[in-house]
Amino acid sequence: MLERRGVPKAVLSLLLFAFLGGCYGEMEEVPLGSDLLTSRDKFFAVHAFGAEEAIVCGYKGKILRTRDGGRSWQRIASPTRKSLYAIHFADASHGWIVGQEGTILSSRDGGQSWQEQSSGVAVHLFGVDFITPQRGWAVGARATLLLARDGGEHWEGKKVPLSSVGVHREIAPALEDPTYYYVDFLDEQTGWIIGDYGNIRSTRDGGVTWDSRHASLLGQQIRPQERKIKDAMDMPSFFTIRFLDGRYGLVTGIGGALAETRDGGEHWQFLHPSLPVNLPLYDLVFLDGAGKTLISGGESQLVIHSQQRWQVRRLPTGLSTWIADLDFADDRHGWAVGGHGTILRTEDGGRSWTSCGAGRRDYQSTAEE
Amino acid sequence: MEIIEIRKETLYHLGERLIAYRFPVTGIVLLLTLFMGYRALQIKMVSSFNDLLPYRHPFIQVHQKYADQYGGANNVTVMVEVKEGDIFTVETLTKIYEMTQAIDLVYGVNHNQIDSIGHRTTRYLRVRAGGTIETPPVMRVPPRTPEEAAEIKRVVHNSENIYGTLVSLDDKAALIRANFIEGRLDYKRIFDEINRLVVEPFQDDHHRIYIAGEPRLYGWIYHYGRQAWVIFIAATTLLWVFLYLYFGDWRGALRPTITGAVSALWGLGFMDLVGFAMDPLALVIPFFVTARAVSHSVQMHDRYYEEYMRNGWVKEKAIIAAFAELFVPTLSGIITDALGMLVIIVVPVPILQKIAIFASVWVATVAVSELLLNPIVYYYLRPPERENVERRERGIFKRMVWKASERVVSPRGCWVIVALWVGVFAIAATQWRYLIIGDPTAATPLLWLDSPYNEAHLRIQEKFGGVEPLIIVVEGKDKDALKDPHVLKTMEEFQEYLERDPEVGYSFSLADIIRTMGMAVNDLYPGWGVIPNDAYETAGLLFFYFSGSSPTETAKYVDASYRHSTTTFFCKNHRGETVRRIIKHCREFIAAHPMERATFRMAGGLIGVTAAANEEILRNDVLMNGLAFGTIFFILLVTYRSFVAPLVMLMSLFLANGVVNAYLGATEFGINLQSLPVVTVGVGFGIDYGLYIVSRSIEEYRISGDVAKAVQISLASAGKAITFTAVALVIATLIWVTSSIRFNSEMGLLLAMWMAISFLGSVTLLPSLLVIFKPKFLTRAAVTAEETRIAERAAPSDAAARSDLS
Repeated sequence: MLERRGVPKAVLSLLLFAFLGGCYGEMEEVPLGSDLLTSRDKFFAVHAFGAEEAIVCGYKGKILRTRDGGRSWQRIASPTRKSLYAIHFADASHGWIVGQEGTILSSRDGGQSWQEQSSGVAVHLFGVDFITPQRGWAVGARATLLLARDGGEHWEGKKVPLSSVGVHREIAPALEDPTYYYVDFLDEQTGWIIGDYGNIRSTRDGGVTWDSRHASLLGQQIRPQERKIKDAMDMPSFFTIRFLDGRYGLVTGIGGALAETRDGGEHWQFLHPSLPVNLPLYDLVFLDGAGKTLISGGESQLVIHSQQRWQVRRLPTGLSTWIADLDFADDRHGWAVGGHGTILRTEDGGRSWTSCGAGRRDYQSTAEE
Repeated sequence: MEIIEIRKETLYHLGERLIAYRFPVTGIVLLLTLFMGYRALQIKMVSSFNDLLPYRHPFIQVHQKYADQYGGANNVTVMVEVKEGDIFTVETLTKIYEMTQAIDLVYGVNHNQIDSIGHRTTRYLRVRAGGTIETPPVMRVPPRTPEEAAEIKRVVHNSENIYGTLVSLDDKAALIRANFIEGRLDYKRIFDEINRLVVEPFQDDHHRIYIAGEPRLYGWIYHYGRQAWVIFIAATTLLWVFLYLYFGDWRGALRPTITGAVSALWGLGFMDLVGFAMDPLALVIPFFVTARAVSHSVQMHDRYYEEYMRNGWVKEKAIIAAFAELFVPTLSGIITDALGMLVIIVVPVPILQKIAIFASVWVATVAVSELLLNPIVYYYLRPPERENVERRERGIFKRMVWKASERVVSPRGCWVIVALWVGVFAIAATQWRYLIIGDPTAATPLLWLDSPYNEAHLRIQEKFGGVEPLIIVVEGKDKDALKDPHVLKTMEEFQEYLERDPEVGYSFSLADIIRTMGMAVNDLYPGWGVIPNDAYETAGLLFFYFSGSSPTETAKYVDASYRHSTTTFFCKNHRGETVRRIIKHCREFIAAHPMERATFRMAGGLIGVTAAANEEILRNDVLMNGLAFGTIFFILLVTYRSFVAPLVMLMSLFLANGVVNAYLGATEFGINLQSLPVVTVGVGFGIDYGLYIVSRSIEEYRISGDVAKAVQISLASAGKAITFTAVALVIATLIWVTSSIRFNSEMGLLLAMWMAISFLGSVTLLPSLLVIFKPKFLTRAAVTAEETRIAERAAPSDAAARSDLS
């Protein structure tokens, strides 16, 4: 009996320890979700390599690539945390990305790796175009125009004289240093840049001189019922210009601005399809030999022009957002990217779209007709 | 030995004195009881939100500093849902507008912290073709035409701060969120006024209205509060019936009632005296305390009957014998109970500290009726019928208990019992890790899952993804610190980081406004939607956004001197685990991202406040348990003057506790501010029972000198009363299970569980341990077996027991 007396004490201390120590279990670890694709992503540009293959870039330097039609995405190491606004490939392997605060990246291996180039400027660069793997242009804020002759090892600043279209003395100071949003060279000599205050500028001598081509817009209405354009201050900002051939071209811009030319840019005419008021139009593509035109805009809207008919439909982005860029591998396979991590893919020339980006809070709706 | 005997003598003497001085004693007690009773009637039913806040926790200090500006934890969320179509019709938008105006009239609402598309502070950004930017309210007036309604739809769809947060992504529901000022929280009034002003005038066949949020929840609890009284009365009545059946006369039922009533009057009177109010959620505590009072008086009454028979039907001798013999276990039991409740005071949460104080005082007042009034009451009460007492001794209940106790103390029986308990304990131990601090589910555990409140809460969560805010304050070190791009970028990064948690729906900060403004002032071109690198540019963007709004409207985003702002995360629920994980992620992020001009300060909003409470509970849990067990250890040490006594008795308590904790874990019962007091005071249940068993065993050992026999007689007498008390209280407590307040229901179930397991522990495990170890504190009194007086007294009982049961 006496020997046993130590037993309860021993047992008890063990129990005490177990009781106090074991009462509350360790926290169940739920890992944070992946940051590969989130609703905070903003994709500003997409490049289609093929029906199944594409590369997208966007906010805070993110670059993603898919090889399986958007079912899975791989992150590509980015040398920057600056936002990336435009992407262009001169051929299958040579590509450039321009972005926030003078950022320029280049790739020589089809977008697998990217190196930073020195642009020599600190303003946002919004457009880039290379006509050969050596010769290319970049445009951006504060009337910035850059030329590279060596694939971007060196970039040189070019001056575009201020346009005099619709400019008079009172407003002239405000019109200095417009932002250029887009550059498109049709060949080594002929190119276009567009931007604020209705600027549509072209060169026919490889960028030595730049003409203003938007005088014909004065006196027109951007939208029906709106007042006529009196001067440059009334002009819309243009975001994208594309030519189907040497003659037919379209520009899109803020506030539903959409203008066409049928004479290679000598004269421009605003088009007035029925669109939601003030809808900004960001990018456009020609499909089926211009039998069809797709224009992406704000509020998740896609404007389709086909067989003389205009249609507006909402893309399945969940939360409404801007669709900044469109790119097609062929007439059927294409991509659209935008805010809230939006990446959309079509396999039927833009009739139906499926989301393969981040859906905000898993909301996925189908395209509304 | 001598000390014990002297003490016993004194107690006998004390009993006699009490009867001798019955007039002054009764007079004083009666006067005091009348006074306390008068005070008890003044007591108010109030919950104070501030009482739930662990005031010492740093989160709460941040919360209290900034709640006025950035919103506290007291949001009422009203959701208007259309049954068909979308909300963008003249009818529905007008309804939302008018409901928003109506909620502005509810008592205690913070007029600048109402979020709704119908409120003046909800603005959107409009960029005109010429580049002018405005931030008008979404609805200055309700729309008059379908075209105007359609325009509002466009505005909503294009405003990141509205679409998905105030209007659901499927356009079928809109939220009206109102913050209430903490000092003016009158839950019942808010509940009634919202019903009268915001719900009733707007109900029709096309819409559903759901209301959630903490003030609403408490409103519902008040609403059900009346029902708690019905349950209380039902449980008490049932207990009466049981007592009558057990004692076989009305006096047996009356005695515990006197104790319960007197202590209740004293307890409630004390609460009112010190200025405490009764929280509807704390209503189980009085019931719990009353259960202890009943438990003590049943022991006393049972012993009185026993002594009455043993002392040759001499009433006065029986009164004094019962009083003197039970004085020590009763007093120890009451002190243990009182101190056991008092230890809750270590958790620095006002409501818990108040409960600790009033519950311990209340329990202590059981002593007034049990140890002061008791002999006098018996003196005036007619003695029990002789036949009744004899019938009880021969009754089936007594025989059952005797048979069972024989098994328990048999050499094989006690080892089997210990083995069984160790086995159950081992299985139980596997469940402990499922114990949850905080709420176990997304719905509130206070009400049933199918209650209107939880239905509304879940529906809103489903439509909007996350409505429970976690507010992290960004505190700048100087003026304009919030214009610093690095600060803004860090805030944004914080949002990106935490939004990756699956339970964080979305987040909002000044960084979002900067980005939206960047795009708005620059042609609506997406690329401009970035945080500039330059403080002048961020200042410009903020100026654009806030110009034209009054300071009261912008205060919820940033203070006028740009010194502080918030990063607000809207979480999907406040389950204990979710809160803990999100807070952990916050701490990690903040530690890894120091800022030069500002610091992140945690944390406000419902999630921040809940986190503080949970952390405080966890931090003090070990201390509280240690104190509770330490107190019990000490009291047992003093009572039995032995180290082994508390060890043996605590061991059975540990095992019982282990099993109850396993139940808590297995049923995912969350330990939160409301359930903590019950969980803590439950520990003491078993010790009361143990005290009566052990004390009686010691008494009996002195007579028989045989441990097994002494324990068996103890089980058959004290154990019998325990058995009755436990069974009756468990059944009466189970009536609480029918409560509409799920919390009361589950606490009822938990209490019943606790009583049942403690009971089983003290009538099986404890006796088995006594028989196996034959501890010295039990056997050392053997010498006194020859003590004549005791032997004499014992003889009839022994004989009676043998003759009746053999």
